[in-house]
Amino acid sequence: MSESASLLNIQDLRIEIAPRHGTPRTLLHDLTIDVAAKEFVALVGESGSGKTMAARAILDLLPPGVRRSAGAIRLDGQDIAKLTLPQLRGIRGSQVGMVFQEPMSSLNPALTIGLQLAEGLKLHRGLRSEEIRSKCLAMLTQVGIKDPERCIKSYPHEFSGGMRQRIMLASVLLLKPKLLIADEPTTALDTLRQREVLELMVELARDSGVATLLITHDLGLVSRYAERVFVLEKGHLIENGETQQVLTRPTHSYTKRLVESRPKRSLTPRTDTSQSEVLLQIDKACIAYSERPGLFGTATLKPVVHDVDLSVRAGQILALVGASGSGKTTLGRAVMGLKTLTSGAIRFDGKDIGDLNTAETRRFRAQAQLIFQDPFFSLDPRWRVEDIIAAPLRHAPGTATAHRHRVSEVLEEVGLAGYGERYPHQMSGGQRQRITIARAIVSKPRLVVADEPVSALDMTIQAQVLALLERLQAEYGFACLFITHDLAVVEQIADQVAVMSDGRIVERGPTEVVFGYPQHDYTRALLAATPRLPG
Amino acid sequence: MVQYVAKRLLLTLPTLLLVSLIVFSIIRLVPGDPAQVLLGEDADKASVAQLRQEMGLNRPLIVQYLHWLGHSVRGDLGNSISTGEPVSGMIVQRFQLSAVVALTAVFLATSIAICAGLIAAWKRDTGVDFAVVGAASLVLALPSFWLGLLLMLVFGLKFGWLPVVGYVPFSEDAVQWALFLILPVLTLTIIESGVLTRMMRSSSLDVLKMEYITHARAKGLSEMRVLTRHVFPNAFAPTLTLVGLTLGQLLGGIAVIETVFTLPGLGRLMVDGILARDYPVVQGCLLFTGLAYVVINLIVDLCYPLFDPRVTAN
Amino acid sequence: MRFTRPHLRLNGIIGCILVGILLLTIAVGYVWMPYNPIAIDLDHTLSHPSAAHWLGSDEFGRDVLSRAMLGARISTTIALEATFGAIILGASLGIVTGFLRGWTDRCLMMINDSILALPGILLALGLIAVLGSGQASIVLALTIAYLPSVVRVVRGAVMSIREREYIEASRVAGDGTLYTMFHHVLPNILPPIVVLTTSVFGWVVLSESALSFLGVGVPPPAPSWGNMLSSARPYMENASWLSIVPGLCIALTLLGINFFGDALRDLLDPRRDA
Repeated sequence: MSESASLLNIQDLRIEIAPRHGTPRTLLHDLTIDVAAKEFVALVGESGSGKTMAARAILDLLPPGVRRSAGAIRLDGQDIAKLTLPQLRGIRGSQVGMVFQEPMSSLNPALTIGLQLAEGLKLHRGLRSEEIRSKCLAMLTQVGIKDPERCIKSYPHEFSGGMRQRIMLASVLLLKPKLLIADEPTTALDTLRQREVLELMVELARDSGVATLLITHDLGLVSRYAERVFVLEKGHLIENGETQQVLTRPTHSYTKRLVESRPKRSLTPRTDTSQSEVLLQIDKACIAYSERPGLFGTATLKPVVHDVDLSVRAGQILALVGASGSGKTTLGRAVMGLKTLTSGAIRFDGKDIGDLNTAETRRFRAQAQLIFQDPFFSLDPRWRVEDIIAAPLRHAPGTATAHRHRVSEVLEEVGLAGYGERYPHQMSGGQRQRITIARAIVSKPRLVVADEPVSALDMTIQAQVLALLERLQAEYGFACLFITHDLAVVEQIADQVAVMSDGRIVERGPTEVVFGYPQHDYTRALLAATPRLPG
Repeated sequence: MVQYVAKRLLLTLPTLLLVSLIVFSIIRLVPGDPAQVLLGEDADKASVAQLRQEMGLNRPLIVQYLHWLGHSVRGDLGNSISTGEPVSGMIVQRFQLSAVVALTAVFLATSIAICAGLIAAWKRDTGVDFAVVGAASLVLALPSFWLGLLLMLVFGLKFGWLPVVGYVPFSEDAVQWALFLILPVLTLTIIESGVLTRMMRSSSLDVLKMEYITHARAKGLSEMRVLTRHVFPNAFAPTLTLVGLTLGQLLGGIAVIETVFTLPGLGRLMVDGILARDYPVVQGCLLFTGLAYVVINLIVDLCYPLFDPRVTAN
Repeated sequence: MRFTRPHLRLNGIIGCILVGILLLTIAVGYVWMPYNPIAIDLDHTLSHPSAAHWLGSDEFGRDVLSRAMLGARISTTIALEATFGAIILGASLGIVTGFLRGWTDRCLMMINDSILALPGILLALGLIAVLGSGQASIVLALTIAYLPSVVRVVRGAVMSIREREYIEASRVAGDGTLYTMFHHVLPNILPPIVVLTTSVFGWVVLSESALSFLGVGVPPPAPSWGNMLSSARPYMENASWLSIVPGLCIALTLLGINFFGDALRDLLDPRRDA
C-alpha cells in the first residue's frame, strides 16, 4: 500500500501516560499502521496492548493524563495530529466515526435518541429539522429498528444492549464518514447479538464505502471479517499482514501463542463416564421471581427457569450453554442451594438439597463448591489469600495444622506457591481466578459448579486457566457443571452439553453429537454465530 | 411516568402519619401538666381539673392523638399560650418570610454550585479546580451564625452600607424590606454553596469519565455543548436530591440566621415557643416543618426524571 | 503513606495540625488556664487583647482565652459522646437492616425517614424541650438527631456489598449469617464508617454551638463557643474581638476535622490499590 493510496496512515505513533506525580510511562511504541479506502482492517491485542489508546489517539480522545508524544496521523494525506482543536472537531464524526464498547454507557441516558442522533447532523451538515428527522428515521430502519418514530422519542434505557449498539451504528453512519473506528463494539453482547451487529456493521460499511478499523481481542472475529490484521503486544506492533496469512502461519511467538490459545477440540480422548453413578439430578426445576406488586396489582411471577431436567454423573463435565438471561447462572446458583426452587427438586447423591438438616448441609457444602466468574469481587479484599482458600475448611473435620498443610498443597497445585500472605488486590486477574479455583478444590469436592470461570480473562490467560481446570478435574475426578456462553470452550472441555434458552433446556447430549448434528434451531443459530479459526 | 408519580404520592402518606405520631409523642413526653402550665403555679386544684376536662387530657392517648390529628388536618392547630392567637395563622405569616429567604438563598447557591462545580470538574487539577475546592472547604467549616455576624460587622457596622438588625414588612416599604434581607440571604447563599458545589463537582467528575461523553466529543461537538447538554443533566441529578435535603434542613437551620438578624421567621417562632414553653406553637411548627420537608422532597422526586429518565422505568 | 492526589497529603497534614492543636489545648486546659473561666472581674470588662488578657475579656471581665479553652473541652466532650452514640447505635442498626432486608428493613427505614423529615436542629430543640437543659440531654438529643443519617449511610454501604460474590462464597463455604456479617461485611464497611465518624463529629460540633448560640445548649455561666458568640452580639461595635474569637475556634476545629476526614477517606478507599 503506497502512502498516497491509503486513507488512514499512522506513522511512528507514541503514546505516553504522564501522571502528575510519578514517572511517565510509554503505553504505545512507534506504531505504524495503514488502512486503505473501503478496507476492513483489524487491530488485535490483549488488555494492556495499547490498542484502545491507539484508536482513541486518532481523534485525540485520550483520557486526561495520557497524550501523544510523537508520530503523524495522516487522513487522506493531511496530518490531523497537527490540527488545532476546532479544526479537529470538524473531522470528528464527519470524516471519522467511532463506535464504542459498552452499549450501556455510550448513549447519554438523559437525552432522547432523536436528540443524540440529530446533533451530529446539525453540526456538520447544517440541515433543516425536517431533513434531519427523515434521515434519522431512514437510518434507524436501515439498522433494523422496527418502530423508528417511537425510537426517536425514547430514551436509551428503554432498549437492550444489542439495540443500543445498532442505534450507535446509526448515529455514526448518519454522517457518512470515510473511516469507521469500532472499539470492541460487540464484546459486551452475547454470541447471537454479536454476530447480528457485526454483520450489520460490515454490510452498512460496504454499502456506503466506509473503511473500517476494528479493535478487538477476538481472533475469531478477525478471521471472519478482516482483510488485514495488525497484532499488538504490550504497546509494540509485532506482526501484520493479510489475515489468513498471519493466522495460519504466524511468524512471531506471541502471535503463535495467541492463535494457540483459542479453545479447540481436545485430541486426547476423555474417560468414559457414561456408566458412572448419577451425582446430581435436577427434576422439573422451576425458579420464578415474584415481581413486587404494583400498588394496585397482584404479584406476578416472572419465570426464570422452566421445567429443567438435567443430570450430571460422577467425574463428568457437563457444559450448560446459553446467552445472558437464559437462566443458566440462576440454575447454577440453585444447584449450590443459593436460590430456592419454586417447584421441582434438586438431588445430590440421592438427597433433596432443599430438605437437609444442619449436619447434612455441612456435608453438602464440603462436597459441592462454586467457582465464580468475576475475579475482582469473588474474593474478600480484606482477607489474605491463604485465609480465603482455607475458608471452606472451617467446617471440615481435621486439625488446624492439617488444614494449613492442605492450603499450601493446593496453592502449589494452582501454581501460586508462596503467595499465601498476599492480598487479592496485589494479584492479576488470572492469578485471582486460580485462587478461586484453589478455594473450590481445597475440600476435595465431588461436584464443582463453574460459573463462566474464564469469560473475564484475556485469551492467553484464559487458555492457561482452562488447562489448569482440566488438569485438576482429571486428577481429582470431580463432576463439573460448567456454565458458559462460549461454544469453543465447550468443545474443548466438556463431555456432555445442555443448551439453554429462555429458561428451558432445548437440547442436550454428548458434545460431538450436539455440535455435529444440532437438532434445535437455537443450537444451530448459536453454532453459526460462533466464529471459528481456520485450520 | 404516571405510575411513578402515583407511587411516590402514595408513599408519602404513611411517612406523614408517622411524622405526626412522632411530633405528638415528643410534646406529650414533656414533663409537667399542660393545664397547670396554662393556669400558672398558683392555680387551685379544682380549676386545673376543670381545664384538664375541657382540654380532653383525661381521655386515652389514642383518642387524644386522633382528636389532635383531626384538628390539625383541618388547619386548626390550637392557640398560642403566650399570645392567644391561632397557631396556624402565626405559622403561615412567619413562614412567608422564612420561605423567601430560604428559597432565594438556595436558588442562588445552586446556580453558583452548578457553574463552579462543572468548571472545577472540567478543569480538574488546575488552579481553577484548587481554588474552587479550597473555597468550598473553607465555607464548609464556617458556622452560619458566625458568618452572619462577620458580614454584619463588615457591611453593616464598618461600612454602614446595609441595615443591621430589624425588619420591615414588604407591604410597608418594599425597598427597605429588600435591604434588610440582603445580609441574611447572602449569608445563607455562601454557606449552602459550599456543600452543593462539592456535590456538583464530584458528580460532574463521575459523569466526565463516562463513555457517552467521549462519544459526544467524537461527534465533533464543542466542549461548551458537551458540558451543557451532556454533562450537566446527568451530573445535576444527585445534586438535585441534595438541594431538596438542604431546603428541608433549612426549615430548621434558618432559626439561627433569624436569630442573628432578628427576623420574625418560622424558625425563630419555634425557638421562642420552646423557651416560653408554648407547646401548641412548638407542636404546630414541628408538624408544619415535617409536612413541608415531605412536600419538598416529593417535588424534588417529581423533577428528578427531567434529569435522569431512568428512574421512571422499573 | 500514598495518597492518590498530592493535595490530600497537604490536607491531611493541616488537618492533623489543627486537630492536634485542639487536643493540646484541651489537655493543657486540664492542668492550667490563664484565669478562672467563670471568675467575674468587673474592673476589667471588655478589655482589648493585651498582655494581661491574651484574647481580651468579656462583658463580665472574664478572660476570653480561658473561656475558649474550657469551651473546647465542653464542646469536644459533648461531640465525642454524641458521635459515638450515634455511630455505634446507627451502625449496628444499619448493618442488621441492610443485611437482613425484608419487612424489618422496610418498617425501620420508614420510621428512619420520618425522623429525618424533622430537621436536625428542630428535632434537637424539641428533644431538649422534653429532656430539659443540661449536658446529658444535649448529648442525648444530638445522638437521636443524627442517628437516622448514620443508619442510612451504613445501610447503603452494606447493601452495596451484600451482592458481591465473596459474600455468596461465604455462604457456599457453609458460614452462618452472623459469621458472614462479622467477618466479611463489617471489615469491608469499616472504612466508610470511619469517615462517617469524622463527618458526624463535625456536624455535632456545629449543631452544639448553634444550639448554645440559640440559648438552648450549654447553659451559662459554663462557656461554649456558641453561647460566647451569642453574648457577644450586643458589644459588636466596641468589642468586635468577642465576636471573632469564638467563631474562629469553631471554624478552625471544623476545618481540621474536614481536612482530616478527607485525607482519611483517600487513604482508606480500597479502590486505590486496584
